[in-house]
Amino acid sequence: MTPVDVVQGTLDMLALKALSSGPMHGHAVLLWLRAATQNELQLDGAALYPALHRLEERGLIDAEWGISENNRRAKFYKLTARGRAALRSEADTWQQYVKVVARIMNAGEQRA
Amino acid sequence: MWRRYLRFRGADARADVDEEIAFHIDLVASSLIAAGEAPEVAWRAARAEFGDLSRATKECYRIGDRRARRAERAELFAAVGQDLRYSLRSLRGTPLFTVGVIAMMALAFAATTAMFSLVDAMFIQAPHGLRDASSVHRIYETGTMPTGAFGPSSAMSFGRFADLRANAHAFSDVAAYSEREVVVATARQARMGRVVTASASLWHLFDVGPALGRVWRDDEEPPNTRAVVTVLSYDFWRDAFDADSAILGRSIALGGRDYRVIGVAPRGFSAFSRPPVDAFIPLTTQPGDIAGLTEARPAMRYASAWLNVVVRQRSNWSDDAARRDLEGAEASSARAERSVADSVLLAMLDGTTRRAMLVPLLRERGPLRTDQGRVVLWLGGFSLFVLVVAALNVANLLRARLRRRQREIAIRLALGATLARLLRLLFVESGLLTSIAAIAGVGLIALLGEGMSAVLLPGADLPRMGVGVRPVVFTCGLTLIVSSVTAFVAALQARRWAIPSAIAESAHTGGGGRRRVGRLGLAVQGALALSLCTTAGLFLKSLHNVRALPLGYDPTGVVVVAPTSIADIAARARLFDTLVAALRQRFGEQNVARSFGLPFSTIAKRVVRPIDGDTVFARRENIFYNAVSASYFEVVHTRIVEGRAFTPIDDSSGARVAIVSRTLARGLWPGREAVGQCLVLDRGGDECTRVVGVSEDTRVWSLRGDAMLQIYGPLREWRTGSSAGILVRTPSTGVKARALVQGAIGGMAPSGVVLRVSMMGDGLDRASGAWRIGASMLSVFAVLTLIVAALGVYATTSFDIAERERDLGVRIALGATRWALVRGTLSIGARIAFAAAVAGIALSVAISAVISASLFNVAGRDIAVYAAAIVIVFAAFFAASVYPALRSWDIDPVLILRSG
Repeated sequence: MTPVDVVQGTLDMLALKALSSGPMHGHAVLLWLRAATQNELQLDGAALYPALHRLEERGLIDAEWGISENNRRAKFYKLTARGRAALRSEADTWQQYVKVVARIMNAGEQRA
Repeated sequence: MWRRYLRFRGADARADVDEEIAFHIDLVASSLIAAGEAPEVAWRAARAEFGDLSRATKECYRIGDRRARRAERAELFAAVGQDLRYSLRSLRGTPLFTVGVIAMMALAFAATTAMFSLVDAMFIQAPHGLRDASSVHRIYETGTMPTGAFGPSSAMSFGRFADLRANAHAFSDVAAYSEREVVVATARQARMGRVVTASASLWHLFDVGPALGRVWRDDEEPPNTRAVVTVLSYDFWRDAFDADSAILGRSIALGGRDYRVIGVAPRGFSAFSRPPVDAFIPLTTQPGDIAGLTEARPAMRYASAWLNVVVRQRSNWSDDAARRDLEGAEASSARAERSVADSVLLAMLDGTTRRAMLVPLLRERGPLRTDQGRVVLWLGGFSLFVLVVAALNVANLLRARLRRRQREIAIRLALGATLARLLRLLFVESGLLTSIAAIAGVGLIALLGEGMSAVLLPGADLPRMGVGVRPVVFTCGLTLIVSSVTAFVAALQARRWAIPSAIAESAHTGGGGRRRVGRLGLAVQGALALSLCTTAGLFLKSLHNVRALPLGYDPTGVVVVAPTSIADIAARARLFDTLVAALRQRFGEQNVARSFGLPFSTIAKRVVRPIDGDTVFARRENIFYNAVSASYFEVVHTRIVEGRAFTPIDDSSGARVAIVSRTLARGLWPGREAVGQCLVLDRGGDECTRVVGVSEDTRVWSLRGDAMLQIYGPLREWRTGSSAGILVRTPSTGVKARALVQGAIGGMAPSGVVLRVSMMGDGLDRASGAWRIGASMLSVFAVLTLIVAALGVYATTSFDIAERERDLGVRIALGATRWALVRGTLSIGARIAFAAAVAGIALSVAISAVISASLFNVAGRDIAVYAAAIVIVFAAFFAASVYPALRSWDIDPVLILRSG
């Protein structure tokens, strides 16, 4: 299946979800998202890193320099309490949106 | 936490971004290499897989820079907060210093804010609600008449205004207005009030709409109709009618006539008039002949100049083109005036040329700037002197405080504190003091501005001192400048302590350099104080000269009773007779008189032709006429130098008699007796009015120049016209005199009529207002500046003595006498005073050259005034130096030497 682009406005939520499983550096977040979507999500570092920096600016994630699995200096991100609350809220909004869209799409099919 | 923020400063933040992205690409490339790819291919693939590296990096840089700036701001705010808390603690620890500085600066700020509020109201601020003020101008007239040049004059006739409105194309709106004092009668009371009478086009000039109802329209003026309507001012509606929204349609009596209320003006609106204004009425509701509005006598349209004309210039007309258009319309109006003039008027117009001119809207910016306006402008500048002196004092005091902490500051600088940090601390401390002082100063004016105006500017025709948005903004700007300057001056000293050798200096050793700076500051303060003392002295002398000017009459204790206009002539005559009878009974017949003219208030010109006299002189000069009752000269103490005064028989017999002033007599009949000569008044054929007496010259209109040429006639001639008032000489003055007269005539005014009771000298007070304002305000500024400068001398000398205590103790131990040390200290004060005197005199000479035109019979370089100012400054500096100098008398050399 051809990978799909990230829907505009959802990348932040996806990054927060990735970090909800534990502190990670940027590359790890990217790998996590690709694995979770079985490589069906079109996402590269050029899109992810600005998103991570914006989340850090908003205080939803925190960053600290540490040592990576290959013994190199890396920047690790982790969710803050505000980030967890934001993730819950955005996830709820997204779920609601998906339900509504599905209803619309199904309504058209039923009539047909 | 701060370290984390520091990571995002400048290059660090960007280096972090680079390192993070490099780590990602490295990881990807490493995994490709581990999978068997060639390194170069792996790197290329890793970069390609990352995506738009440049865009991503720039975006991350931008976010990082934003965070860094935010962090810097937060750090700065925290540091300033810290400095603020430190400054507050430090100032609380020296309460005398703090209160003294704040009080000094608060008075200075109060002076500058108060003066700026006046300057703003008179010179800068456009009337409330005026649309596009820069395109609105006044029209003045100037020209020549057979008697000489006239104008510029702001008064125009109704005919001229109507012609300009019809024929001047350069202006989208042409409006006229006038102000009148009339009786305003409501259900609650009748009182004198101010009414603006205006054309409907006045409202087109303003953007604000009525608060209630509407204003009158162009089609409600002649020739369509003549609506007798009024628009009340907001304050009058609120105070007299409790802001009743049902006011529309009700009637209110203005000047004895009923007007229907059709609207309420917006709050704060007074058109082009200074508040308070009670109501606005159409100018076409004025009495017809006086205003020249009747069609029956078209010549009267041009007879009386009583309107102010204001125009809005069209945006597509240049200034030159608008002026030419205006002059063309004026010429056309002059032709129209000639076409309706009778033969006598035509003869007068033959020698007359007129030119209309566009002038700035604010009167004080035009050619008719008053002496009061000029003085207010200078006072605005002089008030800045007060602020400069106070600021220099504060700078000196801050430097002195810093000196006490010299060692501590030098250590901090040596341990890594930056000079910028120190400067910021000084700025915060200076800013705190200055801001508190500015708030106190503005508050002082807000609370006491009205009272100060009443005390310092009594009777002056000026706006009230007050606090508005613009004066507050002005004060904020001054606060910033003053705190910056005082911090900078103090910091000039502190930066020297960045040198490590300063750590070894004790607080008691001092450099001659920094004392010179302090003394220079004191000399500047002294110079400014001296120049203010000199200027105040010149104005005080001017005021003295004004008061000593021989007027030809004595207004002291003379009360004027002036009933407001009563339309019914017979009723007016009866009221006057009743009042005169009551006043004569109370004060005596010889102390009560009637007069048409009042000094500096009401005068009338008259055309005079002497029979067998100098007719050229009569035609050339302006001759003024006053109709008076028999006891007039006795009541006002005007001497009759030849012949006799009027008698009651002159009033009742019908003989045509006159009394002329001395200079007029000499002019009309040079070298001959005036008594017995004949005059023809106005254009009355050859009917002789015989001169029965010559009076001394009087000044009733202008204090400058020669006395007026005056003719007096018996009052009966004016019985059918308006009579300005009844004059009563009382044994008291001021409020007591008015109370005596009011007690005698209380309750005699019919309903709807107000009896105005004032002092004859009020007009003279208004005429001499410029000198009174200058003298009172400059005296206040001079005293304030002198006190501040003296305090500065006291504080600086005290600190110098304290700093040099060790040196002085050693000198005493080595044999110097205490008296020599005291003399030495006093001589320093004397040298500062001398320097201040030299600079102050130079400044005073420069100032006097500017203000000399506004002085009254005083030379700008009056030796006595300058000498007095120098003595005062020397005395103040000496007195401020004596006590601290005498402190050196108590220095114990033994203690000094023991302390090492």
